[in-house]
Amino acid sequence: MSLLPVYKNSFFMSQRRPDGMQLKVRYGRGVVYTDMRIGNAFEGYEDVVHGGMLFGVLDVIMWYAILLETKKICMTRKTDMDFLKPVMCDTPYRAQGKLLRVEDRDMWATAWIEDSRKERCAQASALFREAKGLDYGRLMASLDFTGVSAPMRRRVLSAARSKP
Amino acid sequence: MKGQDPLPTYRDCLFCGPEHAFGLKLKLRRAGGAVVTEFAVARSFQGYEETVHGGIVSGILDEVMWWAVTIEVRQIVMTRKIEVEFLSPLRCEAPHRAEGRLGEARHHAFRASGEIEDASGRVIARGRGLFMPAKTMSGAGLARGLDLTRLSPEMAGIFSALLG
Repeated sequence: MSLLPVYKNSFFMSQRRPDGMQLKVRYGRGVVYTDMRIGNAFEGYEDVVHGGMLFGVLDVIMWYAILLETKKICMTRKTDMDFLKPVMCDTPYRAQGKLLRVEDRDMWATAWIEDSRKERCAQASALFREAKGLDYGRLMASLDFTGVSAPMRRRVLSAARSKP
Repeated sequence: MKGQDPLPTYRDCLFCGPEHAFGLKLKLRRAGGAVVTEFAVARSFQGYEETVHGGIVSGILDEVMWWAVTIEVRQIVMTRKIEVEFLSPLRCEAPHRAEGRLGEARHHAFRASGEIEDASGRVIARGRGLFMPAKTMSGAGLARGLDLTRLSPEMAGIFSALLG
C-alpha cells in the first residue's frame, strides 16, 4: 500500500500544518484510503465531526482515485453525500474510495467512511470534470512527496507528462 | 434590527464557533425567512491555489441550511443528505454571501436549499439538504455549547424553547 503525496498547503493533508487534519492517504488495489482519527477541533457538535469535514475527506479521496486511475486532474462538479451515522471525534475510521467510470472529460467516483466494525457512516458519489487550463507542472511542483515510494512518485508525476 | 436577527453560535464549531482557534467564525443571522452569512474564507482553507476546498464550501452550505431548518421547524435536526453543485471556484479572501432556507417540511423530513454568491451576485455553489430530527443530539448537549448572548428577545425565546 503506497503513501500518496500531499498538496503542501492542504488543510486536509499537509503534515506540516498544526491546524489541519494531517490525513495520510494511501493507495492499493484500485482503492484510495485513509485511516483517520479526527480531533475535536473539527467538530460541528459535541464530539461529532462536522459534516463539511467528512465531505472534504471524501472529496480528497475521490480526487486521488481519479488522478491515479486516469492521470487527470479534475475539479469537483457535483457531489451527493449521505450521512448514515455520526462520525465521532477521536475515534478510528477508514475513508476509502474509487473511480467508477469515465466519459470524455467527466469522471464519476465514490467514497465512503466505515467504522472499526466496517459499518458505513457516510458515503458520497461525485461527478468530477477534467480541469481546463490547469498548469499541471505547477500543481505537481506544489506536492510534497515525503515518504512516497519511487514508483508512486513516477505514477503521480506521469499525470503532468500525459496532460492533454 | 427586525428581520436581521443574529443567531447563536456553537462555541467549538469549526465553522461558526467564535472561540475556535482557527475556525471560519461565520456570523450567521436570520433575514427575511432565510439564514444568511457574509464571509471571506482564509487561505488556510484552500484546496488548491487561491481556491477554497470543496469540503469547506459544503460545510458553509450545511451551516446555513441547518440553522434555517432548526429555526423554522423548532427542532434539533441532523443532516441526513447533502447535494452540492460547484459552479465556479470560491476564491480565498474574497467576499461572499451564503443563504439557506427551509423548503419542504413533512413526515419528519425537512428539505432545505442553500446558495453561495460572490460579490457580483454570481452563484458559486448551490446545495440541497435533507434534515431529520436528531436522535443522538440532546438539547442539553447543544445548550452546553451554544452561546445565546447577544440574541434578540425573539431569537432567545426560540432557542430557550428548543433547548428545553
